[in-house]
This record gives sequence, C-alpha cells and structure tokens, in this order.
Amino acid sequence: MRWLVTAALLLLVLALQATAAPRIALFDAVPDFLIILVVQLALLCPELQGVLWSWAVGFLADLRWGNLVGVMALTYGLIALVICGIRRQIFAGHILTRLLLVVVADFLQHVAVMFSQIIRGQKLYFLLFWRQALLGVVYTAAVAVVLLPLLSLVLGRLYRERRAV
Amino acid sequence: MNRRNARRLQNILVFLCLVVSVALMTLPVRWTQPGRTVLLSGIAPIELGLSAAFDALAILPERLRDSSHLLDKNTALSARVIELETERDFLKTRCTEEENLIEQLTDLKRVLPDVGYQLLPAQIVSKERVRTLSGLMRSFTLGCGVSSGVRNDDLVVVGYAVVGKVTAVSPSASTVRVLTDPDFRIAARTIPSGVEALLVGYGENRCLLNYVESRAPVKTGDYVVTSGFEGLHPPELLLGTVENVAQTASGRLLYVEVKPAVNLDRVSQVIVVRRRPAPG
Repeated sequence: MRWLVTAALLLLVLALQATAAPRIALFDAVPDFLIILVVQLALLCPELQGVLWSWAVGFLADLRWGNLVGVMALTYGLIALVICGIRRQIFAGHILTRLLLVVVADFLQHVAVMFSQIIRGQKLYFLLFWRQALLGVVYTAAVAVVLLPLLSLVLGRLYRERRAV
Repeated sequence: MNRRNARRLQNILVFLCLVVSVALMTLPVRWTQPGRTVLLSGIAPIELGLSAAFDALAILPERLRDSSHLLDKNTALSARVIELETERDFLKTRCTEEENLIEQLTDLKRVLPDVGYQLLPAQIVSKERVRTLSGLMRSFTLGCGVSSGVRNDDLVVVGYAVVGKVTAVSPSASTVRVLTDPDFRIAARTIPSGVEALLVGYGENRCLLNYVESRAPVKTGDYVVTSGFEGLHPPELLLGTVENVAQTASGRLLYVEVKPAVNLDRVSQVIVVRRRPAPG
C-alpha cells in the first residue's frame, strides 16, 4: 500500500511539474517540485527506500523531459544518499533545515545539469544559465514553504510506523 | 549480524543504483525511447486532467467578470422578451380581428344585394374627438381613400352594424362621421314594427328617430335598421336598438331614443360599403 501511494504521489508531482510549474513561472524561472519531493523522501522514508524512490524520481524525470537518461537519476540518488546520511545529525524536523536542504539540493541539481551539458558538448551560456538557476532556486524555496508541510503530512503518515520501529 | 547483512545489502543496492545510472547515460537514445513512450502514455491522462483544471482556474476571474456582463445582458434580454411578448399579443389580437373581418365580409357579401355595392376592408388610422357647438363629437380616419374607390356618403359598417358615413375623402385617407354626430342622417326603419323614420345623431352615444307619428307602434327594444329608401345605401343594416319612447310636448310625434349598435371604442377595423360607380 505504501509503495502504491508513494508511486501515485510521485506520478502526481511529476504531472504537476509538467503542468502547474510552467503556469506559475516568474521571470522565466520555474519552481522544481521534484527536488522538494526528493528532499522529503530522503528525510521521511527509510534510508534505502528514500534513495531508491529518489532515484526513481530522477529516472522518470529523465524520461519525461528527454534528458540524457541517468543524469537526474544519479543526481537525485546521490542527493538522497547524502541527506539520508546526515539526517540524524541535523534538525531534520525543522522547516528551516528542510528549506536549506531544498536550496542546496536544487543548487547541486543545477550543477549536475550544467556538467551534463558540458560533457555532452552542448552550448552553455554560463551567466544566463546561472541567472535562471538562481532565480529557480529562490522560487523553489518559496514554493517549498507551502509544499514541504503538505508532503510531510502525506509521507509522514505513510512512513511513521516504519520509522518508529 | 542480521543488521550488518541488511546494511551491507542496502549499500550494495545503493551502489547498484548509482552504477545503473551511469550505465544508462551511455545507452543510445533509441534504447531508452520505449521507456519514454510508456511513461508518457501513462502520465498523459493525469497531465491532461491537471491541465484542464488549471486552465479552468486561470479563466475563473475572467468568467466572474463576464458573469456580471451576462447578468446585465440577461436583464436587457428579459426586457426584450417582455416587449416581444407584448408585440406578439398585439399581433394575435390583430390576427383575430382580421379573421373576424373576413368572416364579416363573407356574411355581408351573402346578405347584401348582389348589384350596386362593393365591400372594402379598412383600417382605422386614428380616432378623434372634436369639440363642436353641439358638444364633443367623434370621428375617425380610415387608411383608404379615393384611390381605393371610397366616396363621400359611403357607409362604414362593422359586421352588419353601421358605424358611420364617409364625409371627406383624400387620395389615401377618408374621414368618417359617426352615427351619433348631430350632422349624421340616414333613412331608417324599425323592426318588427316597420315604422319608417329618419335617424339623426344626438351627441354622446345617442341617436334619435325623427318624424315618428304618435300612433306609430314603436316599442323599446325594437331594432332600427337602414331602410335603403334613399337609394344610396343598402337596406337592413343594423343601426341600433330603441332605448326610450316618449310623447313630445306637441303630442303629434314620438320622441324615440336609439342606442347605436356599435361601441366605437372597441373598433379598429371596419368595412366600407362602396356604391359601384354607374356604368358609362
């Protein structure tokens, strides 16, 4: 049941990223719902599941947006792995901590995207890219203020028992 | 020990995940295309549904703004509907009147002598009240005149009942003097008593029968019809009913008051009984 609900949530957030995010774009900056989901999955799910789900999110994102398949999967997987590793050492329950994690994760994701573009030999307008990326990071953090508690509510209810065990 | 194994398995799985990611990056695009197609076909309905919902949300303020315009428009249309309903009712009444007129024409054609008269349906264009020396007199104007063959002294009827006489004619309109006008005169006869007399107008909604001898058997309720003796008008057209019979002061004649058969207020269409022009 948990797997099913988590998969449905994942597909829903993916669909929201494709439909809702472009509609609320500000100065061409689009919020990233997926990275918020990844942070919440890494914080609330058991370690292995957190990494696997995050990897799945990245994999589906790669397929959905036609990236080089594996780039976002690897990035999200690594981000989740790091968050899972440090979540016992930080105040993971605090909203500010989570917001900070979202900001850092989004930033790292953009770094990964930049490198993948460089590796693939695609033309990169560095300043333009980072202007958009930073705007996106700020916007994602703003959206995360609303989205984090919502996801926390759903995932917290799903994985509370497991974590208690 | 179990915990350590689980931990090791976990690490292996995570490592495998990362390795698979790197391996996927090296795959040619055509290998990942089926996966992309499957995902898109699976997620497309959700995206379409969400898209429709967001579109609806986006145009909601515009719709709300439009709704106020629609309310105004609706009010205007409601008023127009009432207007059109009134017009429809009016036209229905006109239609009924036309049907009545056709019926009257048919009846009159059956009753009137075949030779000498033609029937012309006419619309009353206006009704006037004129103040004269003898009081407030009524007349009305018809929308037909010389060009339609109307002439002075032609009788104007509704059904079998006389309304008045044409007194002035222009090419496209004619004025009718009503039965109650003091200047109106016509040869009349009472039914069933059969007394011949002259009917004259006597002001507001009244006429008198002149020259009726005191011994004449006229009674209240007798019908008064045209006698046709002048040769100008057809006989047997209803003028009114006797309402009051009394002796005059001299005692030689009767004072016979007649109530006209037609109430002019309710008339909008009439028939002009035209005399056919003499051949040659």
